[in-house]
Amino acid sequence: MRFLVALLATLLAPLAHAALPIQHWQTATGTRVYLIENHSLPMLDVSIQFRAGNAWEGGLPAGTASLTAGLFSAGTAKLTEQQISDRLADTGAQLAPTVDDDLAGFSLRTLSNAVEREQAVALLAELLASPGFPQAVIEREKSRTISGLKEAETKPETLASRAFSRALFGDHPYGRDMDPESVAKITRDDLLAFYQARYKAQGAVMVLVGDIDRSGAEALAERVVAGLPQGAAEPFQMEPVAALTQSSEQRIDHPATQAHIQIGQPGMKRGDPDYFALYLGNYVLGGGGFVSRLTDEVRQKRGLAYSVYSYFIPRLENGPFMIGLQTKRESADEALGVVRKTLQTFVAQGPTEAELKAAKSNLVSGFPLRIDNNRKILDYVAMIAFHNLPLSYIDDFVPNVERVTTAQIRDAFRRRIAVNRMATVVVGGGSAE
Amino acid sequence: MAWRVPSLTDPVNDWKPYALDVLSGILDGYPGARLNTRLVREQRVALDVDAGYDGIGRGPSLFMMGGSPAPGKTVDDLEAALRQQLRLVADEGVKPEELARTKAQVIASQVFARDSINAQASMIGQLESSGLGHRSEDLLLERMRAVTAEQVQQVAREFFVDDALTLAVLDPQPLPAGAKPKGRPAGVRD
Repeated sequence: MRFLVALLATLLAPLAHAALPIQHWQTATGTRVYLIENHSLPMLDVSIQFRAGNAWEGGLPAGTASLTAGLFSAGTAKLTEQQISDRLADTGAQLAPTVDDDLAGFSLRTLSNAVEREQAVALLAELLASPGFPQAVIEREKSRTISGLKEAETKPETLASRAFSRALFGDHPYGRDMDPESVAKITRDDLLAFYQARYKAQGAVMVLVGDIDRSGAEALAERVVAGLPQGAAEPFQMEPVAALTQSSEQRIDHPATQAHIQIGQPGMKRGDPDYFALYLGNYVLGGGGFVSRLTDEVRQKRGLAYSVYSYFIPRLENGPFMIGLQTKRESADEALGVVRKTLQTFVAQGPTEAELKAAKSNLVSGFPLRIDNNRKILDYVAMIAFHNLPLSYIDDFVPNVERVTTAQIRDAFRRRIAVNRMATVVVGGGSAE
Repeated sequence: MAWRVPSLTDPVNDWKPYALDVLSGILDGYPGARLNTRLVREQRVALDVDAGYDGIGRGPSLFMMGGSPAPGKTVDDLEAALRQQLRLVADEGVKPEELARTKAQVIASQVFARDSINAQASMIGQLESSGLGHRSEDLLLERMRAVTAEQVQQVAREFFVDDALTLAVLDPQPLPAGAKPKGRPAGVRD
């Protein structure tokens, strides 16, 4: 009987791992392609990403990266903005740009019928190969962006996150932030220069999820990247983020009735050796909502805020680790004290066995919901692809979570989170009055 | 503005509900559809506009149109502009490429919606509770593909009469001099 169970387990194991098989290859131009076939719905999702996010702007004005990504659909050598929008509408396809600090790119969703798919893919290929960046649309979008930024600058959360980002990253590209002045400076030549330098075929990553077979996917990928600038983006590696050398605290005056508080420091990167220890530890500290220590101390015991949370944003290099909350102006100092004490205690002692067990149970049981449709699979695999993580990342996720111990979490937090070198920003706090 | 119109009762033999669905797509099925292009971008009579029809349900249904007037335009201007768009379909019909684009949009959005397990559950529940049965989903798509330009024109002529119309206007009142907005009611949380 025991033999039979063991045999069954052996037979079933490969099936369990075949849940989300990723096929992987490179195009002739050096774009890495990832394919997950799923023929249950007649649709296809495609994403393509470049090292063309905000942190790669170099000497160009801040805002160039996001304006560039947003203006591919503004016109090409052959098509006007209206024609592009009509062509998308004719096929029912959806095309959306994405930009963050590291990456910029597009996701395309189309029906998988040959006719619709070919039209949608031909359009994407043309946008990527010959963006026109027409002057009139540049002016329109610049003025829209500038008025959006001016409005955002009146809000305490914008002031807080700008000051926080500067305090964490200083002159590192992750500390860049566009403002009305920098956007006003952007010219058409800047957009073209950024496109030529950063939207390179080599080193781009493309993900396909849905109703297409391998040979169809290979042909599609070649067509999409064929017209891109050749070679690799230079520089290709993000510069490392320096740790903070001392604590800082900024108080920014603002008439809001709530004080906005952000505390943190540079955290971790994708593929970080401490990733799973920090990820699970943060769940206990402030990532797990109502079951986190920060919520317990700040909200449950003292009623100082509705919501208090902490998170890591892993990037190509160490992205932010942040604790955030809003509280009444008069309570800002008290809340700040409670948050600091809670963090210090957690870094010194780590989680209890019971807390770690609850964290694992939530993350393991919730994992299937993160990949339960094509769009989520596309985004997840695009993350794996962009950061060049192992193809087995999804299969390994649950075992990697289950393996973490309380001692590893305590050790990782002690080495990585320096409680005596934190950046603090308070917007609208009581002491500024 | 809401007009009483039929809902789908016999998925095989009914055609008007499918034509009404396509009509709502012609008016407001995608960003470049008639209402947004003409009333918001060209005539600038509205800040936003919408048209919608849901033919799946027990009992009769409503075909709704609405919007908010652009600065300097009145509710009457907007109402006249919305009515004119219905009259244009009734008088002149729709172009073949417009019909094809609208159908592609409606079909694509229904296929794309199935990528969500949650949306699948709602769709099945809606079809069952309306008496059409959850197996009718593909049939509904097929029947909509079959809608002709003449059928769209015909429903635009038939249903949009004032006897079937309810019109509601939200008229924001000015605050008394010196008064401040009351803010949110007690107990509301973010």
